[in-house]
Amino acid sequence: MKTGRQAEFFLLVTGVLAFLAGVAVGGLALGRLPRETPGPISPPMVALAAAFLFIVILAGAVAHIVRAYIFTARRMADDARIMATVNPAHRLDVDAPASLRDLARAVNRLAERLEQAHAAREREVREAQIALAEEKERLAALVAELTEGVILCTPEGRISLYNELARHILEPTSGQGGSPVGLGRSMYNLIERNALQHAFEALQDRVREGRRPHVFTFVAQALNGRFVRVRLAPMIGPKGRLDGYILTLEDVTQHLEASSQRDRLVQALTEGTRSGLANIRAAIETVEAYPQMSAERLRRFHHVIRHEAERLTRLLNQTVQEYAGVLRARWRREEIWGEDLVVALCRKVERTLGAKVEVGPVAEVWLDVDSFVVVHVFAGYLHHVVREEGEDHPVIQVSLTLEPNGRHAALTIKWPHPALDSSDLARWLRRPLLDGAHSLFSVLEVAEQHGGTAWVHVHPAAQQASLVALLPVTAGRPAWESPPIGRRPEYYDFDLLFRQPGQSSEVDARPLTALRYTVFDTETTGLDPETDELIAIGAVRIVNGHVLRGETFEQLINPRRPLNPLSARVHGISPEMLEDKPTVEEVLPRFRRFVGETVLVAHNAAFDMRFLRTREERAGVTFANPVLDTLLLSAVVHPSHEDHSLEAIARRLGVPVVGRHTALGDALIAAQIFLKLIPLLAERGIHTLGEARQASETTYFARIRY
Amino acid sequence: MSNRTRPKRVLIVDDEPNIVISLEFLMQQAGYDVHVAHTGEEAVELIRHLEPDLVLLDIMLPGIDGFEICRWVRENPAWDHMKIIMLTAKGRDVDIAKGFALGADAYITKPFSTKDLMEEVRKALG
Repeated sequence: MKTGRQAEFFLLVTGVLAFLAGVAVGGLALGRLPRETPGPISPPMVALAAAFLFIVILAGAVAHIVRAYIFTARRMADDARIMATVNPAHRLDVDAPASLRDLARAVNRLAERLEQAHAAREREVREAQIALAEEKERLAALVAELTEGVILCTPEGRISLYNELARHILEPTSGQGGSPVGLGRSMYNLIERNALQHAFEALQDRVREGRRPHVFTFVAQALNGRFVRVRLAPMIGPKGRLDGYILTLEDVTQHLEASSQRDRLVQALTEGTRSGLANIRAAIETVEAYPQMSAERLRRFHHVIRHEAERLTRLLNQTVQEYAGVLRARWRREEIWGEDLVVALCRKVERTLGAKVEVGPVAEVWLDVDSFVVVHVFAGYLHHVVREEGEDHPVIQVSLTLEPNGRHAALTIKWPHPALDSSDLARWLRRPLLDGAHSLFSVLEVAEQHGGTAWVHVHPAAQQASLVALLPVTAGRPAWESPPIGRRPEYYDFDLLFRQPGQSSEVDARPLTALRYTVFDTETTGLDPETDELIAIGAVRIVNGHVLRGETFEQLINPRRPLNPLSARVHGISPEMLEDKPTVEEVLPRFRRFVGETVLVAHNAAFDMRFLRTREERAGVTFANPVLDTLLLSAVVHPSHEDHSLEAIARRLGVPVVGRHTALGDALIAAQIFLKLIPLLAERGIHTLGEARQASETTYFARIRY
Repeated sequence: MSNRTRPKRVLIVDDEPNIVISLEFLMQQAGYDVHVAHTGEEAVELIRHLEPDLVLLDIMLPGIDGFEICRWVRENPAWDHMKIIMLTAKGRDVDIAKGFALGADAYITKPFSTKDLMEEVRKALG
């Protein structure tokens, strides 16, 4: 490399010297002309002129060689480097002088072979990885399907895996734009810092002292205001080292509310009634103890008793009303899909009665019931009334329906009932069923405890009877169902666990491969940061050398000024699309949160950064993060290529160009380009953020100078 | 000693007239010198001036509560002979423990039997 450069240098110097010598010799020859007497040209003059001519030709030749061979050779070297690193499909340009053309063809053939060998090896690796991927997939699926939120994090509290439910529990309730739940993000931004730190330390103590179980449970407030029950377990590595934590999360906000309400109910019912009862009891006992008291005094005691009795009645009614929800919550109620309840009841009836059950229309509703109690008590009732009818109706036909009825659903059981009298049936409704653990409850009681009711009908014409129970329907979808489960974790990488987070002051010294980046792009109404406005920001995160497509930021912005119809043709954003969008003052703080402490990356970053900078004050945020520019970095690794547009680099580095000219689309392309630039930079000895910025600066000055 | 010279003085501290009417009548019938305070402040004032032999003390009072009054009485050694019976709707174990810890001689939760109460009073006044 070095000797090659020196040879080029000597060739250049030789060319220049030859040229200068030619000029000097020519000038000398011509300078002599006027002084000589006219006549035939002297032989030394001819020799001089010939030498001049020769030297000029030589200089021209050298210049040609430099252009045709040396620059071409350098470009070839760059291209060969691309082939050897990021884009094996790249080929040398064979449009070159003959000897170099042969070389280019030879190199291309070599590349062909290399690519084939490479492909073969990749195939093997891929196959070997399939098993591993399946394993990972199974874990991801397991985590995704859990009905608890799950987060894995590093010993420093950075997220390395999470499921959708965890995101749902911890996300700000009015979250738009970027989410604080993401790979590499800090847990401390999600759960109250002191509580989490205390838990981490307590668990470390347990692990160190070998105390079992290695689980620490605590309730903490998430920064979104919810109360979360967290079960913290350690991930112990092969050498017994703490590799990180597993957190399972449960939103207990409602549980806590219900339990404190229950406490208040107990308080209200005990302390509230004690006084009243005391007053009544003291009064009546006094009256009984002193029957000879005056009529006036007696009247006053009567008044106390009546007054207190009335007060107690009011208190009781009021309490029952106020705490109705809590009273019902004593049952182990849960959301159950109407059909599931009907099917369960159907099976139970078939089993206990040997009856044929026909299921009629079933409403598509969620019921809020203790399904175990409902099924057992209802089946028990049916068993009882049918048995009461006697042995001469052994096989019966039962039908079950579930129909919507306002805020309730009517569960109807119909069975043959030849007798006309319904008073027994009604009486049985109130009878606690002597069936196992639930002997304490009657059908009516169960229905009423659920906030519903039950009754029986007799249909003499059809010789049938039916039991109807109104059961409560849940208001919306059940709480646990609300985030659509099934979206798998986008990506996970346990390598994250073994990385040390750096201090921000040391960021410059950190390798490019270890940093977290936010790659972004903006769309604007025009090119002038002072007069034009931002209309879109798109961004994607790079963590641990991977573009995280699940962690993106995409927001259109209302510019509060007319759009240039020409620019609309580039980004495809129409004025109507922006009318109801937030303003830049609302969007930038959200973008700032999304960016966090990452390194900013953009193509032609200076442009986007200027638009941000000029709006920082209005939006009350600053973007002080380190910045890298893919355009400049491309120029660093490929100085002899002219075109450093996003498309050109993408083509060169083998990055597919899709979804261009949306902010997010361009950001995604820039992110993939950036990842491919990192190994090319490493080839040039550029490994850290500081080195990359330094090289960018040099190139930047080189570019503006020429 | 002074039993015969003057009747024992009982102070009823409760903000509910409906219980006071019974308590007052029962205590009078039993021959005690009965006084009534309806608030915490009134109770403090009457304890200071009358120095009763026994206080029937409710806890939930407007102003200074019964626990406070109990502690205040027990901080004054001159009133060591003063008996305090807490008579209250606060029936949790912890409330009872607190009452005794603050120096109550008896703790009776509402509702109570008047016969038991009178027995308790008689016992306290020895």
